[in-house]
Amino acid sequence: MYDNLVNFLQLTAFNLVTWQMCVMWIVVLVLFYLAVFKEFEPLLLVPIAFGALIANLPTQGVVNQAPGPVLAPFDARVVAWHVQVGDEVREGMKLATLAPTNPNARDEPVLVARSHGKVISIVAPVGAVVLEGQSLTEVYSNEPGGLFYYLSKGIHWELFPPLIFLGVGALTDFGPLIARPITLLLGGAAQLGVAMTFLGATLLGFSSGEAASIGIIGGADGPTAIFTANKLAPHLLSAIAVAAYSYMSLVPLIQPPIMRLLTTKKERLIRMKSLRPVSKLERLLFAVLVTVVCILLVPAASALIAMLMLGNFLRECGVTDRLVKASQNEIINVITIFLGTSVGMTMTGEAFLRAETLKIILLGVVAFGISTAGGILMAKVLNLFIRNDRINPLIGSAGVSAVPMAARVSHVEGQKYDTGNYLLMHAMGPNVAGVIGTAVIAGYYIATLGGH
Amino acid sequence: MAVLSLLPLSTMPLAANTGPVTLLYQVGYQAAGMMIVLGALGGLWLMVSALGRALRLTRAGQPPVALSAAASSRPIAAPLETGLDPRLIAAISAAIHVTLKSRFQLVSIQPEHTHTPAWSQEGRREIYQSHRVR
Repeated sequence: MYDNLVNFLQLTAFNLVTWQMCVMWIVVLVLFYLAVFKEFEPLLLVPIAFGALIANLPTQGVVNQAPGPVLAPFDARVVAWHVQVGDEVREGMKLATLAPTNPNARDEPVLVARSHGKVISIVAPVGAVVLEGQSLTEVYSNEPGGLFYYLSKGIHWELFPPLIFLGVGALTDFGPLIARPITLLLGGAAQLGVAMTFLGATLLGFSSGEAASIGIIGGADGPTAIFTANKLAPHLLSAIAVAAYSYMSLVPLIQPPIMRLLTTKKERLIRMKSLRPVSKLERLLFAVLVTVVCILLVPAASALIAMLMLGNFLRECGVTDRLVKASQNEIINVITIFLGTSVGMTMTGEAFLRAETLKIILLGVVAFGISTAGGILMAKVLNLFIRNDRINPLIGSAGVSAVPMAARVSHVEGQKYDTGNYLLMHAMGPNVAGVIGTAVIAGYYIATLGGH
Repeated sequence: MAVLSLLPLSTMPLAANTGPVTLLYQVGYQAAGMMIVLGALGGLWLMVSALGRALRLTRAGQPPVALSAAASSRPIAAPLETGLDPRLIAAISAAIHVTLKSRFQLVSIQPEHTHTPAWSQEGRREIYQSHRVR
């Protein structure tokens, strides 16, 4: 009996728990607390936190890769092999030691197995120089990959963010923007935080691709942040996603002090005229126009823009009720669960517990603040040229996407100074313009930095 | 600024830059990004404004809705003859407009005289609402 118990204990996973996992459990508890009890973006933070919990447990059959070729994670020279042909390998076992060929790279030199199986060949011998993505060795097994190995392909292959955008498009009413299209400029100016944070991140030592991905947090658009990070800095994906969604939920705390600082009481009291009704034809033409113009200008953001506007066209055309309902409910809800958990699965202790994560969280709040200021200042500049129906600068802050929370913040702030001032629909204009603006600047970064 | 521009900032050169990445270069890169964003959204502003104006002009050129002699004589006079509160007529018209989303002519308004229990009526209403209005 004693032997049986000892044998059983040897099969348990307690001995595989690391200190990083224990620290991440605390992080997970904090995320659960924020999501469940403080209701900070619970629809995203709950799946993210649960994914992080799974990622920080010694699981089996959940995250392991499908057996097959083991590819070089970066340009490198093979220093040593720790396995031989015929060896059985399991997830987490050391396979080889690599030396990055780029002296400035901060990549991990140890290559570990991500799947179970038998080593059937070693393609790159010791001393060989390999390029990123080139095969190093081959592992064979009859076992398939784990559940989240396949689900996370939705991020790596960039399927989830555009599908989320389909639902966002189906849920978004661009009417206020079409009725007062000058508010597009407020959504554009609110990207100032993205640009400034890029500069701040480079000063803190991040590479251009990393800086661009961190800057996009200021756009307050989770799917775009994930889309950009996956293209330009996949190793920072989890920290960027967590920062983006956390700050989006903190919009009601971050924005008001900046709004009060940058506006006078007289400006906050400006009442804007009621928006004109927008015809169905105008809405349909708008969707087509945005698709064509944005894709021609930044083809790198095609997937996001195309799906956003497809969702919106379905909504506005009035003859695809079932598809609209599917986009607004089933599709976006299912993808949200998969996206959240897949992002959470990237939050392993080794990847998350780094100084970079703290820097990203700090830079994220700076990005939000500057984006808020950018929208407000643009409204003030536009008021210099507008004689009739001036813009209440409080709606400028809604230029950060965070739909519709940022618009609600503008409305609530306006009502504090004039209870009869209804800014909500006016603020929805820059709010949805921010979604387009963030996609455009993300496309610019991906197009110019994507090759690196 | 000239001194700052000499500082290499990034380990990863930008696509269009073959030399060391400097602060000045990064500022220029961001300025170009903001110009592209504002240019794209500014261009959309002009196009959407022009589109809205063109559509309004097109509609203004059309004959006024329901002002033909035949149409104007009947429906406008009819509700007044019912003796109903004009605000009630306005509310019913608005509800029809929201539901049908097309032009309509309100011919008559009749109170529903029925002994069907309210719960049954609500059930019927929900069943009918689940189908498209044709």
